[in-house]
Amino acid sequence: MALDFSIFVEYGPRLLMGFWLTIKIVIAAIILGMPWGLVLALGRRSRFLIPRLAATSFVEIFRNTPFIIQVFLFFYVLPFYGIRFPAEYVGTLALAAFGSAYFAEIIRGGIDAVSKGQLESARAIGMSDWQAMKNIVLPQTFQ
Amino acid sequence: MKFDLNYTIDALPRLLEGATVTVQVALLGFLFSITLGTIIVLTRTTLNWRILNGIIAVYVSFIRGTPLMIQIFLVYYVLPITGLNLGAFTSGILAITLNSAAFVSEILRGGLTSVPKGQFEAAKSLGVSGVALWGRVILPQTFIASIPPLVNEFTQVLKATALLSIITVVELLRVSQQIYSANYHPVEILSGAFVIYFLLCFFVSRGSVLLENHWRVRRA
Repeated sequence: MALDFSIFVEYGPRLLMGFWLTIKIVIAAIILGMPWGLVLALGRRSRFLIPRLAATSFVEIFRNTPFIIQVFLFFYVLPFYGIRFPAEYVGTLALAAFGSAYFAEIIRGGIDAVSKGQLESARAIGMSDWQAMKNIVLPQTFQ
Repeated sequence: MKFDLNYTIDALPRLLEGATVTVQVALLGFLFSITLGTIIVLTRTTLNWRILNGIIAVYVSFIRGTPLMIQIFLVYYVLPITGLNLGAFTSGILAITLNSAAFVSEILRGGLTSVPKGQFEAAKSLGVSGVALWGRVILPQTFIASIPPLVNEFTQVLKATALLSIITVVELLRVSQQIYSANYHPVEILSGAFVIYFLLCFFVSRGSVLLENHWRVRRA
């Protein structure tokens, strides 16, 4: 069998359409996943047991299972509880959930990389935990 | 509809059977990829031919820059065109190996830089060279330094084997698909498979610490 690249002439536009959908899904998943990843990263550093436990389990579960089975589960579980979305939306949601676990770890690494003195100084000049995180640590994390 | 755990329990023996295939594929693929990755690193550092380095660089960036699913399809559907007709199982392992070897070679390259230069010099001044230099001095240290990322890569391989279900390798995900296409209870069956995957990967990733400690003792 010889390779016949002329099929690209016929199917090229459809491939490009598919590629465009890929890009849209990626962007949507990042927009959804990034903030959620930030929530997870902060949750993992929380002083309280329940948010810490919840965020840690979420991250570990999504990092330790194959992405494809997560997609299948989202696809079947949501209708199971009566929520019906088109496949593209379910896929985006699954990708966002999967991605957020990885974003969380990256953001957590970033937060840990900001020297501890920054947080301590911010607390020392009277900022609350949340103010110190929002105004001092997180801007440096995202740099 | 209600979640009925009985379906999960009924499917458990077959799911575990599928899990053994998953582990088998992952172990074989990872074993080959460690071998190939080591060869790549060795050719890169000892031979250091410009053309060979170029080929390796292209290979690594191709593997890292394309989805694994496409690579699996390429091995399974494109290799037969060249007359090389492997079964699903073999092409699956081949695809996993080719993919993982690229990452392993990068990991080992990183591990190699952590071996102090003095080790080379000391070995050479003792008259140790060639196979002994690499086999008994440099590579063992490289591998020990690379244990955490290598274990992480192994969990990646474990997870990647799920993709082989699309080329009809009958591993854990494929088995669950077979079961739920017969009894129409995807949620229960997939949840079971999900938990098995999680336990596998979770305990493998925790095992990294044990390996590190084990080798640290041996080294002292």
